[in-house]
Amino acid sequence: MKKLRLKTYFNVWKIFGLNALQETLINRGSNILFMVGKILRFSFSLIFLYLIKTTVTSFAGYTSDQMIVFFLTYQFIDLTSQIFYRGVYVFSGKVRSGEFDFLLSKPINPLFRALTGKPDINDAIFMIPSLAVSFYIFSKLDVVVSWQSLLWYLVLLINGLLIVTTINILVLVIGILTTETEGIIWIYRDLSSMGRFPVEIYMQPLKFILYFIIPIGMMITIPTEVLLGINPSFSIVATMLVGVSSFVVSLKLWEWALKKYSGVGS
Amino acid sequence: MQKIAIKVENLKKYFKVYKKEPGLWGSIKSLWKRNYETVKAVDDVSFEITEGEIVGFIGQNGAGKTTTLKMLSGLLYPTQGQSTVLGFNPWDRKPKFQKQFALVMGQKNQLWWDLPAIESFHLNKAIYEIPDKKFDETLAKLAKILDVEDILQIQVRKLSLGQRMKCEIIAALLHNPKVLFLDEPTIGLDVVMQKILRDFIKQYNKEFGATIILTSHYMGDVKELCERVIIIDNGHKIYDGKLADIINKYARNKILSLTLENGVTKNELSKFGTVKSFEDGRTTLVVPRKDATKIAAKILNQFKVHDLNIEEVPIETVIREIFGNKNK
Amino acid sequence: MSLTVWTVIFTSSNDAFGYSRESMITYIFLIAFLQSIIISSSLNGLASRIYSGEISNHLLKPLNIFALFAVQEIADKFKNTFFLVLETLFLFLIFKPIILFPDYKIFLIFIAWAFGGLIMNFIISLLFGSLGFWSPQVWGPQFLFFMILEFTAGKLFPLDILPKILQKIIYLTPFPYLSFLQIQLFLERLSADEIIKHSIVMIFWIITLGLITKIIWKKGLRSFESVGR
Repeated sequence: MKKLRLKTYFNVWKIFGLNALQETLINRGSNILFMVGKILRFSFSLIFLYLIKTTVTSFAGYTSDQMIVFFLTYQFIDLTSQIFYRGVYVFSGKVRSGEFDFLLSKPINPLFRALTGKPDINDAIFMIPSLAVSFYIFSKLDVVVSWQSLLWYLVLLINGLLIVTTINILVLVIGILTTETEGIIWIYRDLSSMGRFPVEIYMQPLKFILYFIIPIGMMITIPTEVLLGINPSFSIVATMLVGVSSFVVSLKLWEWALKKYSGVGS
Repeated sequence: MQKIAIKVENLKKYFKVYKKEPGLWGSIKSLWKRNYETVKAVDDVSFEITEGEIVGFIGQNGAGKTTTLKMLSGLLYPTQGQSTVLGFNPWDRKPKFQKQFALVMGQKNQLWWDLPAIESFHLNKAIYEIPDKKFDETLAKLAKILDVEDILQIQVRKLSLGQRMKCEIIAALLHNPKVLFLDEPTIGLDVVMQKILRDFIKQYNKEFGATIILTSHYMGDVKELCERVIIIDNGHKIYDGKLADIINKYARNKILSLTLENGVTKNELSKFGTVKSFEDGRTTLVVPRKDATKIAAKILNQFKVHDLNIEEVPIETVIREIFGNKNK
Repeated sequence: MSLTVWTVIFTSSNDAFGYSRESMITYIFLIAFLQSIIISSSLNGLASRIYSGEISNHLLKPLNIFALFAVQEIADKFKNTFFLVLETLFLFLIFKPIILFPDYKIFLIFIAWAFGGLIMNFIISLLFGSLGFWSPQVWGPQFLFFMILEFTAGKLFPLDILPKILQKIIYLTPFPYLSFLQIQLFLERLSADEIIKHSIVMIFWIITLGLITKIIWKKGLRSFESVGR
């Protein structure tokens, strides 16, 4: 079997990051505007939540402070996935241009390269103020958190990141098969932005979709519920099961797509 | 005994493509009903290449050259048949194998567009796990031969096509591959740059004993670099051997170049063969290959000839004829 | 998405921010529809088309390039509208918003304003496209523009629930004229005075933006030709 070459992979990833940073610096003007746009979006969302808080005290059974925790968790997961997996956005272009052939011919896992090949430096930088503001807001909120629930929250967050990885792999799979992922990515972005609010508030069948088809709920809602000491809509075990199993399935799909790409059995 | 580097046996690659009927209605129909058609991109090709050889693949667009290279690089899985490169099955895509070959595609690039080429080199260094010292040495050497030392720090997007191609090649060669697949390496380059690249490929082959497969539209590349060529047409191998032998095997004609005394008319000459050009007493005449000497003797008898040359038909023409006949 | 959020907000109270549950649902429904028509543009990739020189082909043809863009835009809108109608029908069946058509005079003004919004968005897209004459880096400004648009054109929430000071700032920009005000008009939430005032401001914006765009394109084309792309 393959020998893990962790050090090599780490070195390669480091260079991805450094190169992305250089690119960002070269196009600094544009990137500053990006940053401003992101800050605006973040603050507008907060203003909106604040407005709701002042007028509406309870929100389908959640307090408005709890709503804010959901939003902050969404923000964190979304940002993290953007930082690491930004390369997914440009992947279908690489399949179309044939650059993907180069990736395949190199002694490095093509999935690794496709997923992490282009870390988003903007988001990495934006992460710092975003986290700071999040912690500040969190400390001001009227919510009770025990150490135990915090611990489970962290575990489930990792599980959530696993789900994000899964979804990104699926996007890559679609990229290989159809060489066209822009539409899919936008649909996913739209759906995932529903995770800003607890999935519980949505009606069926949307709720079902958000738990099981594109498990935004497992990714964001459940961890936050656990953190807040709310009885989670699905058990921790079920959530982890969805996370791990969908990850395994996505890996299988990737392998299948690779074979399809290279025309096994066609 | 020389070692076999690449061995291909009965390699086949069929693609299924669907045919769309023209027009909007055709598009709508294709939503539920698609007529698939099998395209035999590579059909039963076998050959062996020994270590250190440079072999040229010749063929028209879509003949199956690139498909073959892709199968040898492990990018495509053959429909049937076997291939071995350096003792590996390419399709396994073992890192150990991948570290020993390189693929260069003239129409595609692997360099980071917004960054200087050197950054892409560092990435490859990490990917191929090249030790620092070796990397520095190889890079210095390649950059010197290709004369690109001073452009490595310039953003790739600002380089000319030729400069970029040089950098592409360096990126592909940093890990000293033993086997090199070059797919149209000189496409779009000017004559000077083509020459530089050819010389470089030759030198690399000598210095490292690398096995090289090259595809090109430019006969110039092939003529200068490859002793041996494989001609592929419609997925079939139709010729495998020395470039020079193609002429013996396929050329039907020879060319007579004459310088004649004034007064000989075109009509008189056309009795001997096809007149290709006729001006100022200088004439080129295409004649059947086997009769060339006889005809030359007759002409010498009948006219006052200042100068006469019997030449082989250019190889481009021969190959064009081969494909031309096939397509009929 | 905002539809469901608002549905939930109104489950606990029937009245919030001066909107009743029904009028809010209707608002969000209509604005989503209108924005999909107004704000989508075939010109989003214009800047990179200009920078790459692809546009030269158009410049060579004996056509007014703006007319060409306009025709493309109209065709694109028709295509979008087709899908939009399907999507809207679907959402309509789920949420069953009550849509009361206003008085026909108001409706005519609404149509006129909607056209105004279309033209304005077209001009703004051209303006962004013209960035491509000078720089390939157009994603930054465009992203910023979309972000601002998302919140100031009233898609997530009606602008009048914002604090007064923010509203004042937003009204100094052309953004509310891209769909928010049209819907306010449709819902008959504007007085006659306001209708006249906003009509004038809208015309002012169209003319000003149009002139700016014209000047910039003139300059841009000159620098385009001098670079020789």
